[in-house]
Amino acid sequence: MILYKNKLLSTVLGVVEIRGEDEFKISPLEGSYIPQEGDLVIGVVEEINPTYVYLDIKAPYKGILQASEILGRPMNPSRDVLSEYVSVGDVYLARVERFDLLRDPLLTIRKEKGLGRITEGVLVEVNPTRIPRIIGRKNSMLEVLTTETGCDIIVATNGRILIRKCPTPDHEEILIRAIRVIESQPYLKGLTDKIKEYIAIEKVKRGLIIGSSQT
Amino acid sequence: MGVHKPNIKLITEDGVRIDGRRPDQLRPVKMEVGLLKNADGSAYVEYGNTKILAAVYGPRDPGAKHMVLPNRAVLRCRYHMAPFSTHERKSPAPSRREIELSKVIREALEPAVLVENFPRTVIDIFIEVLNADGGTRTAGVTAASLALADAGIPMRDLVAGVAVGKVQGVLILDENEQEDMYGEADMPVAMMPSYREITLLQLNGVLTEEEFNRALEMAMEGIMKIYSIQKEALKKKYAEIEEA
Repeated sequence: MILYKNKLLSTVLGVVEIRGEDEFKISPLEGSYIPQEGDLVIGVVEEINPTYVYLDIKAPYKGILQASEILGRPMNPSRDVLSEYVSVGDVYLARVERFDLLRDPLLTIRKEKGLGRITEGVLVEVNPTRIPRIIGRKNSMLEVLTTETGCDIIVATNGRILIRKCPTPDHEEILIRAIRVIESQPYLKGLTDKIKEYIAIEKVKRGLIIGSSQT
Repeated sequence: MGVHKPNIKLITEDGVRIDGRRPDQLRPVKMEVGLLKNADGSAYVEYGNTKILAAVYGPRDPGAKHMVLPNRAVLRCRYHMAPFSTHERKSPAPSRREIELSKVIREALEPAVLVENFPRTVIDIFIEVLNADGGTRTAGVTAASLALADAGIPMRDLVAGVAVGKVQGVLILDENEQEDMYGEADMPVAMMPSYREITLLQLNGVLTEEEFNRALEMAMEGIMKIYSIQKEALKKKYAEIEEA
């Protein structure tokens, strides 16, 4: 935002939410992902170098994952060949450890549990500006998505969503459709309830639950 | 410029132009946003028969590292006329004129884009003239700034442009190709309307000081109208989804 002659001008196209007298928030509707320290990201290996790999994290900057992170021990350049451990196209769940605009974002997969290479599941790509909406206020939307479909979901800040362990392929499909609905109507009021309803209708359609009324 | 002037009347005594407009009237302006799926942002703009498509990619990692700057994003702009955009086929190779206009348009957009937010990246802007009928550079600026906004790239303001010309001693707004070719002057102007700051100003031909001031005023009025249409176009993209 820019202050000009007592007027605030937004620099991006977005939805304004007024929260009382002198507080408001602009949620952008478009834009690419810009990494921030602490972000959870899902990256795809793009390039393997002797001591580190570059991950595509859907940002203008490539994510760096160091060899010691992948090996879990200090790397010995004379013995270790990184390409024996990683291949281009591998998918990693990582956290942004350090990033400033002068250096590419440094990722970690060792600092906490659950990070590392992803070997199963479905990856859904969405517009990164929709991520806050998919998570919802206090995780409300995410809660609906997980409990209603029974799938395991990991939402990465860079606009990639990993879906795992769905009860049936039908549940998985419903979940993906629900995510697409959120993506296309991010500014709707009461979206969480609408999604709940949407999932229920889809379930009835597929005979996963017996619906009392066909809407 | 030694151009052969045919014996046509570009404006009547009571101020009606060859296409029936008044001197200070814009051509019908149409805008649409977000029509290209592969681009991060896109826009289509019509000023009468001038039809422009603009696409924006970025901020993105450039293929070649040698062109990035450590403190800001680099804007790359390509203004191009489609071979079918003119009466006689235009060679698709970039001409001297197109290379110059690419630079002029880039410099008209640069003050608006917050390039310092994205160091070491590039933002690519492609402007394709589909049909040329005068005022392609100003319509190009208008379309490109819409596409930038559609890509979610932070900007101080949109940039809108329009040209003012002079035919038979009368100042006219948004001249078409005939008025441009056979008129006495052509002055394209682009600005950031919220700040009233000019980012592009060129003049071909001769204007007196008074005429220049009046022309600039007319351009500003036209730009304000175009600016409001731009904002409408951006809102419309989301309004349409809302209705669905």
